[in-house]
Amino acid sequence: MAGLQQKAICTLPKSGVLLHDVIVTELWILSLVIITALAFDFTNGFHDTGNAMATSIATGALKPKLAVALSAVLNLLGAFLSVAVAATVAKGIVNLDSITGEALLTVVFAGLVGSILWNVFTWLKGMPSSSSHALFGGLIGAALASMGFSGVAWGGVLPKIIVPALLAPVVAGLVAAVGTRLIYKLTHQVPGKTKETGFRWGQVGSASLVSLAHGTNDAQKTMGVIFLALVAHGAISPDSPMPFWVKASCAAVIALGTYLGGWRIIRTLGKGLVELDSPQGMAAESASAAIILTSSSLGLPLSTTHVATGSILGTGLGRRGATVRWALAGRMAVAWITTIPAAAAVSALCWAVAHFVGGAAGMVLVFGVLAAGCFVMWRMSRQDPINPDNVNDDWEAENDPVEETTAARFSAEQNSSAPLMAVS
Amino acid sequence: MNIADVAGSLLKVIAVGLLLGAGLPAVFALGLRGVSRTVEIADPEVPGEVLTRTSRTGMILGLLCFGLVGLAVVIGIGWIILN
Repeated sequence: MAGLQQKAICTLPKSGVLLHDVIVTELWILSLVIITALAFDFTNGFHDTGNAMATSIATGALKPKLAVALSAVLNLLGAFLSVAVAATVAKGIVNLDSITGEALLTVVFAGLVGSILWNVFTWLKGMPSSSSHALFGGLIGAALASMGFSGVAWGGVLPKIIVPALLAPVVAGLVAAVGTRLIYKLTHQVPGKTKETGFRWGQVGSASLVSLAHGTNDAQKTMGVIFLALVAHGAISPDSPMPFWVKASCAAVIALGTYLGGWRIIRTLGKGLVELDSPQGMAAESASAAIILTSSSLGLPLSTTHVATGSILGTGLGRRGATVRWALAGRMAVAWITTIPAAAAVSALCWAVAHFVGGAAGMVLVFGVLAAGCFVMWRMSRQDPINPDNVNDDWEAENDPVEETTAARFSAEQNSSAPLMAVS
Repeated sequence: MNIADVAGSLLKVIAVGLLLGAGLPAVFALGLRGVSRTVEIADPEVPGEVLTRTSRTGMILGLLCFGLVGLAVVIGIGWIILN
């Protein structure tokens, strides 16, 4: 607020000029929050592409670029289809009712920054993680920093965050395992080629459904955040319908993020966790689609990432002799547990900086930190880039030291007689 | 939403999840089984030899299964739109 007060002293004591400065400052802040919200939406997009498409890309049912394009279009469609009024963001988890105006915008802004940084970090590590949890964590951290203990509705944390997070992968795994077992039992006699082709088509269908479901579910988060910011600014009332430009921008941005495709995460889901065949791929995505749609309609929204990962693991369990990399699954579980505390810590820190520097200057500073952090992480990702061309490479050779030696020796022998194979 | 509500919704999610998430792929698998079923008939040209051709009943039942899956998907999408 220091910046605002200085302006008040320096300008002529005409009420019109003073009001103008206040409005301009607040507009700056609002714009920054909206831009940051859309940035979160973007990370949400590329983080979750794999949930729908990783299995189809891994089995070759869809070519990588086609898969992400299809997913992007369906996400766009889904986002426009989501008619439900975007409920107050993180209602029942954080108590945002008690603050208004610039204070509220600062909390929301800091929350977004924390969640974006976590999303980009987990992307760098190729770790699927819940964007919903990242956002919750960010808002929790900022709310705690600004309001103390009462900023969080602790009674809501267990039923709305912890229980769904524990149940989602288990339920998804169960459904996928049952589906996989049934599929293999029923198609025992079916000739290989028919089976492969048939289930590839099944994969395309089920993956499309997951993309559509994702679009209807996830774009709403950002719509809700922007809506909240607009209400805080006073541009609209809490009862207003969702402005079309909010819906359109959130839809477009999440689709763009989806199209860019978090290849690092796609690779982990499609090749890292389980060695998949088409039937398994279809079983996994069908389970995911059914669970995501059912749970959101029952008001028990589960994280699409938790569900999709659980399904993929379950499909490994459902098929006899399938490879499941439990060590990786364990690392993922750690990442999931860390999500909320980590995002909360970062956003609490960001809130503190924004608050104590004050006004638009504080937020611009934090925004600069956000941009710098993302840039650094992006540069780090270029050291071992994953893209459509190497997303389907064998997992073993790269990540298992023992296998790497064997692979290196093998390719050394090959080099003398065959053209060099591309190494990622 | 308290724990009892969550438990109730959870059971519903499991039930519908199994029915649609595991059931529909199973029906799809049945469909594949149907359309790939073959029957053997005596070779009219070479006595003692058999030929195989795709079973007509298999094909019909198989396509019915696919139709059922397709219908479920369309209903599902319509349901998303309306909700």
